[in-house]
Amino acid sequence: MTSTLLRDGLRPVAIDAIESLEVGDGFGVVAGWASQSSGSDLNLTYFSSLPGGQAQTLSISLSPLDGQFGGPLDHPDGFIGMFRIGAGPLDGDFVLSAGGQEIARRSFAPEERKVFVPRGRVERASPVDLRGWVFHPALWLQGLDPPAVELRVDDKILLQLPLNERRDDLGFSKLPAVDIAGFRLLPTDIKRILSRAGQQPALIENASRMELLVGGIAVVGPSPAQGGKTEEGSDPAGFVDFYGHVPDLGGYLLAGWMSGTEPRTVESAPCVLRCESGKLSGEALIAWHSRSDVEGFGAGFVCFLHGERADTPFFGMEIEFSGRRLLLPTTAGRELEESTLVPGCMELLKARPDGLLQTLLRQPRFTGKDTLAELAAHVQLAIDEFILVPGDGALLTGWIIDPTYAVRSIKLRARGFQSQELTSAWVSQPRPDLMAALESVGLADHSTPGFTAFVPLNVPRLIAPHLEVTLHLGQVGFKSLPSPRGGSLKAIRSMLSGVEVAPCDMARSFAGVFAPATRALNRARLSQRAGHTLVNVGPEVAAPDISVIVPLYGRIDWMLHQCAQFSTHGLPGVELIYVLDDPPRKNDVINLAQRCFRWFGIPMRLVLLPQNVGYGPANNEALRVARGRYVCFLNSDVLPRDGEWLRRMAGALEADDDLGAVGARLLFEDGTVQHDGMSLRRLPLFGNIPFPLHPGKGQRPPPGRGLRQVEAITGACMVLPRALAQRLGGFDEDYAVGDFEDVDLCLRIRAKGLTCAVHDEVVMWHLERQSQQAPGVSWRQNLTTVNAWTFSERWGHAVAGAALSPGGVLNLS
Amino acid sequence: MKRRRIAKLRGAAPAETVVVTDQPAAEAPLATAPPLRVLVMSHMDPRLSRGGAEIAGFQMYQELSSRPNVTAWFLSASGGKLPERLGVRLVQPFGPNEYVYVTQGFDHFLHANPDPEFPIEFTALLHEIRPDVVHLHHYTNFGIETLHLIRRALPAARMIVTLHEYLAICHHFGQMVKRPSFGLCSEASPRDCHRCFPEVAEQEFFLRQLYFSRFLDEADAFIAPSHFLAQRYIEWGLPEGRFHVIENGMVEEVSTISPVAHPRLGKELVFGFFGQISRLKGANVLIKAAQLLAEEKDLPVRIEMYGDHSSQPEAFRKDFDELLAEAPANFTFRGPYENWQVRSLMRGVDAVVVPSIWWENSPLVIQEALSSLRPIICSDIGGMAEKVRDGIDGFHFRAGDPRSLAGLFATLGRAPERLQAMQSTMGRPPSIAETTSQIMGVYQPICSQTSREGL
Repeated sequence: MTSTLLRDGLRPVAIDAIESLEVGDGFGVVAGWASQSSGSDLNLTYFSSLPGGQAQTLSISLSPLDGQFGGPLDHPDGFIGMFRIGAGPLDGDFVLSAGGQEIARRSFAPEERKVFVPRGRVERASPVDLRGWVFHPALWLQGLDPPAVELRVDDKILLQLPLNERRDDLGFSKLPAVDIAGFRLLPTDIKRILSRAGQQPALIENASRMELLVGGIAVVGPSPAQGGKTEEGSDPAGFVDFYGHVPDLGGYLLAGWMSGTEPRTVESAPCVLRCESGKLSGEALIAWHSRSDVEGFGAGFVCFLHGERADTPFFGMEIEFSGRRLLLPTTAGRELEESTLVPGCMELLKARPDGLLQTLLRQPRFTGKDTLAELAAHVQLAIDEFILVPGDGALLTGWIIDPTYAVRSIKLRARGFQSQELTSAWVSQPRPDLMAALESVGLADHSTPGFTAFVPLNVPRLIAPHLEVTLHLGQVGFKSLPSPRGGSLKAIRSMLSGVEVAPCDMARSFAGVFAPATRALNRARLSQRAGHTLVNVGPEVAAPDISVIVPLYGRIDWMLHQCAQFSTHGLPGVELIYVLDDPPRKNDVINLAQRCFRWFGIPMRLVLLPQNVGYGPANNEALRVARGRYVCFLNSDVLPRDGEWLRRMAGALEADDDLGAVGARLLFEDGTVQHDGMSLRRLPLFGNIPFPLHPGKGQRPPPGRGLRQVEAITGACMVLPRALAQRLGGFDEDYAVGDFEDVDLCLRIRAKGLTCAVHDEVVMWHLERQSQQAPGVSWRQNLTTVNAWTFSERWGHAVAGAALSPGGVLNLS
Repeated sequence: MKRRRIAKLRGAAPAETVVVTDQPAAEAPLATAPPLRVLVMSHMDPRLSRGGAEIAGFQMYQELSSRPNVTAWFLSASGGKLPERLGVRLVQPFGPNEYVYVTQGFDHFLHANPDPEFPIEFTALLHEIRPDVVHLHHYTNFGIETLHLIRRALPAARMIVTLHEYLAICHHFGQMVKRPSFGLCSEASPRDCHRCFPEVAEQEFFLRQLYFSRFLDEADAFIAPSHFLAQRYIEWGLPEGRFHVIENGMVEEVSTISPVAHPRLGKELVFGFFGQISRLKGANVLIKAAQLLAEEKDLPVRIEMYGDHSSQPEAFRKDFDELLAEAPANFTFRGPYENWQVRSLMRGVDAVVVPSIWWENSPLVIQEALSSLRPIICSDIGGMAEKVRDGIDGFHFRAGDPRSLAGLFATLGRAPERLQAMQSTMGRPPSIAETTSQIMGVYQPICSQTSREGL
């Protein structure tokens, strides 16, 4: 029987109905629909008349159903209630009310009553995880005999399953009487019940059919899992028994077991730890140990993953080991404190003491205190500079006095990080200031206690970085580090100041330390750069043919001289862009630009950089705003001698599609050649790396012959199609401050099948290096050598011969 | 003969009126032609500073203003000697056609003007007065780039530059004497200039020359008061064809028109020094010559020095004062004088001594001596040797050599009649009117054509 009501007398609502009554041994289950069944005020009351006319009223608690029950009741409006059946005939009325108002009423004739059938489902079934639930009121209503819950495998083998898990995710579990409706068995439990049944784990793995029985009756509901397959997600490949964050190591340490019988030789693997708030990922160190409880189908593990402690609970781990594997925390999985976690893990691994993780766990811990003085040998170590470029490298400069040669290794350490030996990328230097200290310990005066070391880093940051000094005896001491500084030009200058390297040591010093360190420091400083400010001085040149880009650094007064000379013939159709790479001079350059425009009538655009970035990046920044069909990279100390220079160079490009870039003949102030094209030659005195040479430099210029192909042209005056320049990304910014990027660009142009040429009838003044003259030539010369090594790494293959390798023989001629 | 009135400059004293003779007007424009419009520019204003160049420039402006069919304007620079009027650069404290540029600092190495406001006001002034000719006496304080501003504002105007010393060639105050020796320099080059100024790189001198050349090249004509100066600039690189050698004119006084006989040839011969007392002007040479002369007994020669050394560097003043303290009896230091006194003072001596140890150009003191009919005893170099013909206008001695000078003094002391005889051979300096007429000839191309083509 169903009924339809008009609620509020106005509109029809969904059918409210009491649908079924199932009767079991001492209990009944009533179910139906109510359009407001999710409401809290839905009540079901059973009214009956006892013999003798006495009335009986039974209030039945209801719970919404939410799709997990199976059958037509799996409806959003479904409800269910259960009650114990007394002695009466069950012929009374069930009244459903909402908000105190009756919305449905029904009585069940004997033929309308059904026999209760238990519900349930096997959600996962594997040798390592057996999970599911059952619904049977006799399990929860007091005074009734709880039926057994069993799993029948392949129609014959019965396994007793304990109910051991609350299932708040199921709708009926909200019924007041229901407490534990789920079962979840982990390998140890599975092994136990299989053992009890005289079976092996392979039974479940190989099963073709499984049925869930409650009280010997097969459950109904969604189809149970078959053949060891799981219904949702992937099968866990193991479990984490305990875990915790170890601040001293800077990451998580986890212990558990993993299925599979393949050999356990892997010591690290990509790993992801999942927490409610996110995940940690990285390469985890892993070590294995045998575990009797999973013997035959798995092995125990301990694993370490670098990362900070998460605020939310850990709920799963994925590891790339024989494929991607999911490991879940056990129900009893515990988060432990470092004090018990580390010893616990070491205990697990004691049978296998060798391995990266074991070494990590065994190592003494740095507590922030220097312990070198406690070593058995007299070792003095000081760090003057510690520069950190996260993700790229760390630079350490300092000195060490080790009179008994007791030190075996020095490593940069941090929580979860251990570098290679510092001496593998290490430059020794004399330290005259330490002469007295050296003499006091009997070291010869040719000692080189100073050092610069570069440590490549592949981690985003270091927590509690320090140095770990290991003696040949095995004893370990620690040295704390000063607060790290970031990458900057100052850091580069500091590193390269006072450095004097012999040609035979260049490969080790420059290729091994200074070049990678400079690149790291330079990239770090460039990564911090912000956008430029654009200033238009005078009317903007509409649709310019050529953009002339002039970087300014130091002597900005070159702008005055250049504009004075430009004004002789003007710059029609030319967009002049000055890019200031010297931020403190911003006001000066704005004033000077206005002065130049007002006095000489030369309009220009100013690209003002908020920080000094160097020649290549400064030009590149201006290149982004350039609008001409051609672009001319021009040094500020290059001055024209006529009004045709630019047109002639651009005209050469216009006339020859195979020409990629064209330069000019540049003369010193005495009329001798500064640049007439460049050629590459290896220089033994620089470790045999290639340098661009200037043929004819300092000599009287030969008669001009027009265009002449050359290996490379100087960036002091270089014209090329803007599209080509932009397609190539401008100058390579790894050449710090400024050297070699012009030759590099030429070689990239040539690598595209184009040519570079000098137009030696285009003659200009070049007062070379005027803009770079500044104190501290030594560091600048070393920086040139650094850039030369970078160039050699990029283009050495294009020049005959080879750079001197560390330990190689230097041949001079 | 037409008589005109021009102002005579005499320090801070009110201008007095003098009468001068006008020259035949070879340059006289046709009566029907529109007036020639001339802007005269001077690096300083004679009412603010008493230098020879500004006096020459202003006198020329006055002369031009007095001529029919010429409209003239005068623009000078304050050189920091006039208070600033906030927000403006050009002011008119002296008269309707006379402007002063209130300067804002200056680059004395490049002779470049950093003031971004001047181009705007100056261009507006040029557009307003539309001169046919812009004549610059000097370019300091305005900036050498001013030539380009004028060209941009008035492409057809004719630009004339009167060069007063060797500023473009030499950073040492344009004197062409070496540092620190004060030896004579005959040719500038970046390397040589760097030797004089070790603190300045060679390339800076190259840039300096490039900068000067780039803008001087815009001038249509250069006027040099001496052949010597013109030759130096031609050797330096300026085009010879644009040079005109025209002497600075002298303001003439009525009293100087009739010859004044030598006052006496009495007991002693008096040689007078007039002008700024400095090392370059040869003050030390003169005292040392007096000392040498004193060694010769019974020689009736006396030396008088008129001038001021208070503005000289301390080292020189100390040196000079020490020499002065030991000066012999034949030497008298008369001290400073006012410019208007100079001719009467000159008439009190028998000859005027110009012992400069630098080249000079066309020293005013030589013209003053010539117009006072006093023979000149001068160094045998540069503008002095050119302006004073040896044995005709005076006598030469070896520059910087006290012994040579003392010898000349002694010779003349023994034969004073040679000086007296010279009165009949001495030249006469040109008047302002005469030089202005010559300069008008330089203006002529623009008077007869409106296009710059072919210039």
